[in-house]
Amino acid sequence: MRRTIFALLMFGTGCVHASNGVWSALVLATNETPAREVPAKLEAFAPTIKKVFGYNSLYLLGDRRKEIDSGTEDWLVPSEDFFFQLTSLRREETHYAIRLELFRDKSPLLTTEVRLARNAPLYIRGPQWGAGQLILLLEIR
Amino acid sequence: MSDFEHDHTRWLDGQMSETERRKFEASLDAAALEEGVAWRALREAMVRRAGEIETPSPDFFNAGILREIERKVRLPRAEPKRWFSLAWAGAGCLATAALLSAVCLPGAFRPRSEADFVSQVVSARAANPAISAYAFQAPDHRGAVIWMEGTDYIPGDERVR
Repeated sequence: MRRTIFALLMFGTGCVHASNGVWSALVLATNETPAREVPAKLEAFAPTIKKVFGYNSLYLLGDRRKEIDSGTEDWLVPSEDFFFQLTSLRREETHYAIRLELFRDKSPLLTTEVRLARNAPLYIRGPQWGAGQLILLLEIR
Repeated sequence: MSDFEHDHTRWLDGQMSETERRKFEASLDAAALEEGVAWRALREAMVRRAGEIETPSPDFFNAGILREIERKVRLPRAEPKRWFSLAWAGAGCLATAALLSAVCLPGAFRPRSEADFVSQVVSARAANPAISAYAFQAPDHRGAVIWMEGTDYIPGDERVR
């Protein structure tokens, strides 16, 4: 009985930690008339993108979710051309402290340290592509 | 069992014929005869007494067992005590779980502030000096934005994968 309770508690604790990961996406934002229907995966981000960047139509070029552990380095590769090297510095109940390096092909574009909270995404304004704007998204999931 | 014992038992049980009884009694001494007669009288009295007891069933022993079973069924059961023990066991498990959680996950019992649910950019630095990067909070007050200026323009006919 005691062993069962202990095992269940440890299993539950493990589940809490194992369910944390980072979702990353590469998005093309454009202005179109009429506005294009927002992809389902981007519905939660569309209002903020419209307010901050001023675009009404979104294309999801790639996305990827990856489990990360504290103190480890991982590659987040939402697309072949744009990807991140992520170092998880610290993990707490509500957020990760992470160091990010954004690459385009093999060239580093940006190095940043972020305190990334759950359901509070990070938006990175990337290069212009044609008439649109590339935006990179990161979110704890 | 010897012949004498066999005959003695039959005599006590009254299974001898009159002739056999007289012959057997003549072979006994006075003390044995007196003791045997007294025993036979007692036995006959017990048999009569057993015949006078009324039983609800022809089988007296089965009736007795039935009465005993009914008496035990009517006894109050110990259910409340068992439920009480289970309640204490449950409370103990919950207390143990809370204690283990407090030890293993100390942050779980810390009061949350609004800052715990807001993403913040601590630092942002572009690799190329021609590119500038600065950060601000998103209008939803939870997300964060890093704004890069000066990145190379990608022509529309160039493929981005």
